[in-house]
Amino acid sequence: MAVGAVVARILTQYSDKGTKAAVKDIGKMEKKFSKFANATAKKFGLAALAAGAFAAKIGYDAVKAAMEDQKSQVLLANSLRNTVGATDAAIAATEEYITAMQAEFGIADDQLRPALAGLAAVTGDVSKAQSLLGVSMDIAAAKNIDLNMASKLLAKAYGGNIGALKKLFPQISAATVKSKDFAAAMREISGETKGAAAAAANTFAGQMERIKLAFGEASESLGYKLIPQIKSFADLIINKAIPAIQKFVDENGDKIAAGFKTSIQYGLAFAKLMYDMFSFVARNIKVFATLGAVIIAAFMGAKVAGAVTALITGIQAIIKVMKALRTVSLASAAATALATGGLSAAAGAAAFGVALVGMGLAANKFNKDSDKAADSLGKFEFNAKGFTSKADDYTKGIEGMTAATKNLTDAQKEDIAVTKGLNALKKFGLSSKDLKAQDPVTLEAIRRNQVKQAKLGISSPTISLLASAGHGNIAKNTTSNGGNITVNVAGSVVSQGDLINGIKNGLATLMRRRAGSQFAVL
Amino acid sequence: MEEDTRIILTGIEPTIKALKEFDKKAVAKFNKIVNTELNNAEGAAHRLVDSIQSRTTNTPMRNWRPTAAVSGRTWGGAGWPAWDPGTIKAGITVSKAQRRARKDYTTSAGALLNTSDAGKVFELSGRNKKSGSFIERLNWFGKASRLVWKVVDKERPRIEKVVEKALEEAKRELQNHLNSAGKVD
Repeated sequence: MAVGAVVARILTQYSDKGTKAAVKDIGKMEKKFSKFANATAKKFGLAALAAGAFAAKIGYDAVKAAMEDQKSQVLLANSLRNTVGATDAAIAATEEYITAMQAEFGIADDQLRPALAGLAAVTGDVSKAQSLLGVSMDIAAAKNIDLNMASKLLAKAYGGNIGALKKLFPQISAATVKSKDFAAAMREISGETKGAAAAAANTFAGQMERIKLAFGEASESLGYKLIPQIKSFADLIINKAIPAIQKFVDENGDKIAAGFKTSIQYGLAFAKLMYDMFSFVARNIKVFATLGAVIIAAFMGAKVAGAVTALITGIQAIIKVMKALRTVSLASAAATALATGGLSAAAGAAAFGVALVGMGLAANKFNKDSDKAADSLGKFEFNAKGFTSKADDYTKGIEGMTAATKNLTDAQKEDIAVTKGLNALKKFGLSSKDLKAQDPVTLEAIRRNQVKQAKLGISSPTISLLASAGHGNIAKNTTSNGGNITVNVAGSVVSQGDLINGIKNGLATLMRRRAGSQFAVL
Repeated sequence: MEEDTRIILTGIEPTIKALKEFDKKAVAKFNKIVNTELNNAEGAAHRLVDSIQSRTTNTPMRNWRPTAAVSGRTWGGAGWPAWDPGTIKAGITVSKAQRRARKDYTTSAGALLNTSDAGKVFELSGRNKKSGSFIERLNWFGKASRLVWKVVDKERPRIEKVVEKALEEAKRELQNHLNSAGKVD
């Protein structure tokens, strides 16, 4: 086509090249968006995690601050009621006054409240206390001391002890100190202190402090709002999670225990069950750790690393509980969780879930293993929500459980050895009541000694002292029957030495009669 | 021109491209119909050039020189395209070239081109400037759009109907081939 030609179109057709190009471009753009979105999602995820951790930190601090603030308020209210008989309205007005002072002078309410309470106790009047609190703030600012100290000095001065205040303000005259004239003392120091608090509050440092306190107030407000959530969460743990565990143990613990107790393989079976559960937890510990971190971030938050550690601790706690088939420690764990601001609670909740799942899987696995076994235990069932398993044949699997002994602890092995040693001594008339020793080696030594003595045909000699008829010669009244020695004691024995010598002489006589060379007894 | 009433043929390119794989004769048949119509239009334009002449010369106007002027002092002088019917007719051609479309657009499937300078002057003079002795004299041959556009405006409805019919036929042929090839359920 020539450039600049006049074109008269006869046939026209629709071209969708623009649409195709647009679709192609959109496809490219979509890929770019997708790529961008993925990258952003990852970054956002990290940011969200960090933000979540930060938010959790803020939340934790806020709750803590609110709790402390609440405690401070209660203490002041109680003090005002006791000292000046303040009404609820007066206490509320005082709180407003405290808040205003904090905002105006940049002094934390936690410092203002004790100071005001102390001054109210001295003056017996809230209005006077408030007035003196202002003077205290001026003194604190002028002399660069904390408000608590300033208010105590002022309280002493109000009570007549102006000497302490004079150490801080030498301009107070001796006459004033002597006359205990508090008003005169105030006049003498007013030139130095008047307006000091306001001036300090308007400095840069003072303003920064005010900003900091304002943020603190906001944080406390947030904390007050979070406290009900914390309480709800704690209630959930106490009223839902713990009862669920309790119920499970109540319903199944006795069945499990009763079933196992009838079998001498109780220890082995229980160890196998525990081993399976522990093994499951160990194999999936990363999953649990991740799950725990997510739960921590989703609910109460906390530092992720700390959460993982807490989770593992929680799992270990549950394992201990399950090991003993007791849930006593769970209630105290919840109390600990409350005290730690929910950190342990979250980990505990995760641990509960983990433990339940682990128990379920372990029980199912145990059930499969025990399918091969004979049943001398009868039927027992797991009624836990989410799984139901029956073990009809158990003891037949003793052979199969031989491998489980490999997993026994040293302590369990020692217990078995002790039982074996005690059983071995039963034939010699000795039981665990007669023996203090529980060391398998010692028990074996005793057994060997018993065997040796049995072979010798002797038994341990006994000495009997009979206060029966006889003459006064102990030696003559000493007789021997086999290994046993009987001494008839008649008349008076002056001392132990006489008794010993008498028996000794008697035995010597007996030995001579039997042509023995010596005796070793006594 | 009748831009608003123009018939837009859709699917020429893909239909012909697909049909070419099954039945090249059908494609040739379609192309022959299109080419015939275009050539007829081209011939009509050529004949129109031949018919243009003033009362005294074979040019539109007496002073529109048939050869290039040496002097440039008059409007028929140097730089002014000479009226040469042969050159003008040679410049009137047909085209089936697709114009580049950067977005959805109705583009030419067949067109008449007027490429010579004299032909373009004669074709377009008076489209914008409506008065003047030159325009008035040219209007004796009709308003602007005096060559190819004149032919096309007159013949296009008929040509489009013919080509559209041929295209529908080609589509049917293609469908038959596709059905017989089992490519469509």
